[in-house]
Amino acid sequence: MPSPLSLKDARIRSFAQTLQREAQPKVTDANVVELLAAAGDRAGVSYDKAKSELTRPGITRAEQFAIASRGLSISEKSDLGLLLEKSGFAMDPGAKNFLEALVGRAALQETFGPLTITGDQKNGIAGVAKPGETIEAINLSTAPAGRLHLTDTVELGTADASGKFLGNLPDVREGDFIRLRARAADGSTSDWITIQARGVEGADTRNAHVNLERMDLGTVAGSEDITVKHNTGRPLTEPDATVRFTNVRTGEKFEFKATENGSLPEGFKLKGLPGDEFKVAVSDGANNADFASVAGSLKVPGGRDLKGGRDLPDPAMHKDELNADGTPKFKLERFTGPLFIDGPSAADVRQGAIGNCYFPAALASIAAQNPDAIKNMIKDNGDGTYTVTFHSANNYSGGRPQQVTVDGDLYARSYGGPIYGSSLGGSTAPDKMEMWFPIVEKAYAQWKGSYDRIGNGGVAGQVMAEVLGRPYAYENLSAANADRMYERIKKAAEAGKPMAAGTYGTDQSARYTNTGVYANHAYSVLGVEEKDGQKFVKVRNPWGQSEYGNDGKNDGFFSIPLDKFAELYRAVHIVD
Amino acid sequence: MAIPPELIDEVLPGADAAVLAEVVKVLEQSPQKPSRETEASSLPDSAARQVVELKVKSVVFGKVDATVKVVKPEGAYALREGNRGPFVLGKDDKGAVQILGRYGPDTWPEGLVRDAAKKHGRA
Repeated sequence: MPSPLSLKDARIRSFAQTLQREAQPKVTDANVVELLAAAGDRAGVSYDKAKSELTRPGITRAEQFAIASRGLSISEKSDLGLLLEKSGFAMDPGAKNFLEALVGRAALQETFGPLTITGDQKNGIAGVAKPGETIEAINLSTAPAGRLHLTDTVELGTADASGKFLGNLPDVREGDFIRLRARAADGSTSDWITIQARGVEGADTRNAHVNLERMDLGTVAGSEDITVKHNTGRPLTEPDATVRFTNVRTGEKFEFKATENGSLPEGFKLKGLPGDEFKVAVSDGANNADFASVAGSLKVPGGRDLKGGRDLPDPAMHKDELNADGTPKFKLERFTGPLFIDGPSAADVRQGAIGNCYFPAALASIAAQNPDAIKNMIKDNGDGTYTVTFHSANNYSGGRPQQVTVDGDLYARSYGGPIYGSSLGGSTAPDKMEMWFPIVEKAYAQWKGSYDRIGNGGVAGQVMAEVLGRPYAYENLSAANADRMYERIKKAAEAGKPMAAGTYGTDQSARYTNTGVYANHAYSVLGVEEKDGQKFVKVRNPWGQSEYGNDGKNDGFFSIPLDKFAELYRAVHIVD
Repeated sequence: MAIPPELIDEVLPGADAAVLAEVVKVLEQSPQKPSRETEASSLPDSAARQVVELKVKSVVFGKVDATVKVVKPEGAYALREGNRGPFVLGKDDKGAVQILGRYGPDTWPEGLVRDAAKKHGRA
């Protein structure tokens, strides 16, 4: 505790006594105004008026000094000298300089304010701070490339008695962002200020750096949102830099402008899928403005190594092929074989391990009667995807078709080949298999909702209508109408109209055993023929095997006597 | 709705025997639900469980008596007296002998069963 002072001026004495009662008495840049007002009052200028003038908005230190000097008496000057020498009060540098200047011991320093950078950086970084403060700095433009946190600063220099400092940071280039702060002797620091280096070079030729290792991409369940996480406290890039992500698969672009800490804005997301690759480019506005120079790429976790281009959502498997948790029992494999080998034909179609016989039966029939319809319904997009066109029941008269785009991913057995529809007559290797039928089936499953939605029975006539955009007719078979049906099938085949037939339900399956025809099953009807005066109907099993009779081929194609056809088949579907 | 037969290579490892046989009697017939009258070409239904007696003509592999009582599980086909063909036999979850293969004697041709049996070292 300082000893009592013999202060003559009542205002100064009151100020000192008040301060002495404080735990840590200090003459600050704020309360020194009371001493200046005590010094500045004089005849015609009261203490309050002097104080009012001293606190006028925008007043400079020189003007404050002038007000105090004009009223300063000898005794007040003596009192201020005592405060400097004997009070033991701590003093802010600015406050102390006021008192020293008033008693004639120092010149008035006009700048004791917050850290300020002056001029350009041609000869280094110069500015003013409080005398004795250490100036700390970090180059935000080079930090993203190094192992620096934002607080990993270097000492630029120390403010001299007049508050001025000058220092150099290594490797500062034109346009670099430099962040600085002042550190006082007691360890306290000023707010950060950030400047952009100017005058170092003729032009800003160093682009911002973006550190890809400091970002992690993640998926969001149930959506195509891709999160971007800044995974460290170290900066990603320099402030205000624009970082662009380009989804290699879709070409879609996403950008963010870096925050003042070189991070990404909260909530920034991309759109994509597991396995997607994003090219990342950065521009500081002056360099790489067209983002042509790519810093590198980031990959979304998951997905597969796609040999065949784009990856699109896939229809879920049939419920029989799902685990209890809903995950598929079979893995997807990318098939990249030709869409057609020698054009579409019924012989290409092979039903998979799914209860959708009505679908391959319909498609094989169309392939047989109207192969151009198959060719025209599928477009190879050239990027591993195919767009398949169907027609819903309400647009047979010319309404808008339904287009479904799918990729070449097919659920495959561990030992090779698709689990669902595949192609016959050639390889089922992923790079060789003829693709048209499995692609149309996949698109149909995608359109209807899943393989389960199409894999529990159905109507062959409806599929033919949905492919061709024309309605179908349906007629039950019996011994009584067999001859008429024979003629109808004959005419339809001559007109190139696809047909299919269904057998009776499983409740009558005993009549089928050992016949080579199966209950509750759909077949393609391909026409009729007469041999030795006997009428036959030409039929194909969509399994590509298992036939009535034994023609020695077991390729699914067979001819069945008309009376047997009428006995074993329940109905015929014919497209108009 | 009819699904292609399983690959014999997937079924044979779980089989105890394969025989050429004929159904001589249907011993039990579970109630059969009627199929719906519908426009559909195929429906999700199945043929009821049966128990039948087989008269074995020849054995491809395994130890089987000359006549054997077997279960035809609920599924995609039904049997009646006189049906014949290759029957691949295994055990159901109660230990009873049952017919394997989605379509019983129409699942695989005899030659395919014999070739597969050799391939798997069963014959």
